[in-house]
Amino acid sequence: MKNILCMKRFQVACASAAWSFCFSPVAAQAGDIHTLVRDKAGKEVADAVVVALPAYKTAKSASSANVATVIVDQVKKEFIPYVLPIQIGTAVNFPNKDNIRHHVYSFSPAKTFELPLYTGTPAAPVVFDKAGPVVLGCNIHDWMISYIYVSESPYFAKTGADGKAALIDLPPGKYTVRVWHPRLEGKEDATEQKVTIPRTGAVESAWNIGLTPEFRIRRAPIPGQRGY
Amino acid sequence: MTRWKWIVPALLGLHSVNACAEWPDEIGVELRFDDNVTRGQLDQDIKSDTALAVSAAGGTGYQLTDNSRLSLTLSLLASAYRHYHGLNNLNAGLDLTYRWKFGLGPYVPELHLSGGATRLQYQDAMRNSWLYLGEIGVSKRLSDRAGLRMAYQAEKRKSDTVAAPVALPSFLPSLTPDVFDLTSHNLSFGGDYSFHPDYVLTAAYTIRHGDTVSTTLRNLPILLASSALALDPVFGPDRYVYKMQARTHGLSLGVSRIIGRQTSFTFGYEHYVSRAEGGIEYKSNLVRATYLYQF
Repeated sequence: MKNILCMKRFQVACASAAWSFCFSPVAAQAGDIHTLVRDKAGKEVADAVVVALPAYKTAKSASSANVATVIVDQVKKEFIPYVLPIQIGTAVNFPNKDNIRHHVYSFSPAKTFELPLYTGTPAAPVVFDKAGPVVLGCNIHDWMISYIYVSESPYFAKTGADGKAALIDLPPGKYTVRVWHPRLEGKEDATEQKVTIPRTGAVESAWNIGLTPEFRIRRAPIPGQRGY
Repeated sequence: MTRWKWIVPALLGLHSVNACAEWPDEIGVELRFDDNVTRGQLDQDIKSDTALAVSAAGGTGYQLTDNSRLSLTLSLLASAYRHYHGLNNLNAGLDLTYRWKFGLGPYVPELHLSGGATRLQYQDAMRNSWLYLGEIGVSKRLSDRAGLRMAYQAEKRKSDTVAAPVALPSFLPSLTPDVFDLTSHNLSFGGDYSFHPDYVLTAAYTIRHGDTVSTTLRNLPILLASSALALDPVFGPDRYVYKMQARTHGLSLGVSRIIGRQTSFTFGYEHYVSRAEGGIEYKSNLVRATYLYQF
């Protein structure tokens, strides 16, 4: 009788655990990756995109983006933000908040498109359906440049000025984590690190990446050469 | 008048559809030193001076198509000289520029055509004039670090008043006093290269053919090579300004430092050699320190 009671208690405990496994908030069953990206000189790197690719595809990672349309603004003849990470399948709108017209384009293999001269917000957003970095430009203001990083994984984050980024609520398991930056020296694959996400808690990852010098078409005027 | 009936509504129509007013678009301040402001050949004629200049430019742009743009720019420049105050001047210019980009992106060639008129108002009234410029040029960015450009410019300067004629001995050819009515043609080639993310090196070569002026004491070889002559009290009571045909070769070098995204500080050096008939040759060197801000 005592054994039967124990058995019943065990069954209730198991059922309770199973219930809690299935229906408790994801955070309770998910871990984080806290990342820090520095350059070779040890200086924190902003605008680096950290992407975690799960070893085994989960329902979330296999799906395309299911998020609202995101935006890349054009303000005072600059794109904002400078770097925007998105998941594959995300639609991006390009509102022009200046009182002049812009002509947004990209030649990148991941997305080639053109939004000829316009003011305001274009009627249809641009859907980014292929993974990889996309370089944006404006044909009127050559110094305007911005990057959209299209991630095949839903787990990504962009570093702030402190070089830190947190990828949160990742399902437990093995991941390959890598870093991309507009001025990354070498290939993105070379930055790969393997991490295992625990059921709870966080793992730390850090990189010292090489960056190429930042040569950009200058906006600042040169004497004797009038602007656009 | 009939022409204006069409041009004005056309410009107003363009303005309502495409205009983007950007005033001011660029402001600047420059300190420059010229070691031969008189363009003299002999030591006794060479005078140097330093000038401080402030500038502002702005206007309206019309994006005509995806590749072409028309811009109307008003430029103001005021220069004050340390020693020769007669050279102090206030310039106001208006120019119309048409730009055509041969495709999409920053690395396609670009053609520009421009024409404009500038009012030159000097402290020395004899120099007051209108300057008319026409230019055609092409430029191409080779990469985000380097660019090339080439331009041809035709220039005509028409002075308001003609100075009093200078009496010459009868055995010399008579000369008109319209020394500041000048015509010239310029051809220039230049490039820029960023050797560091914050620094741009610029270089240009210019060849100029046409009228030039030189202020000297009485000088027979220059007189014989000249087409106009007048007294030039700016540099002294015994100085004469001569107009002659000359060919000028100019080389300019500059290092520009970017301060923020929209500001630059440039240190520039220019060397000119002018040659006229009769073995006349003068050289000049200019050093400039320029601060520019683009809105």
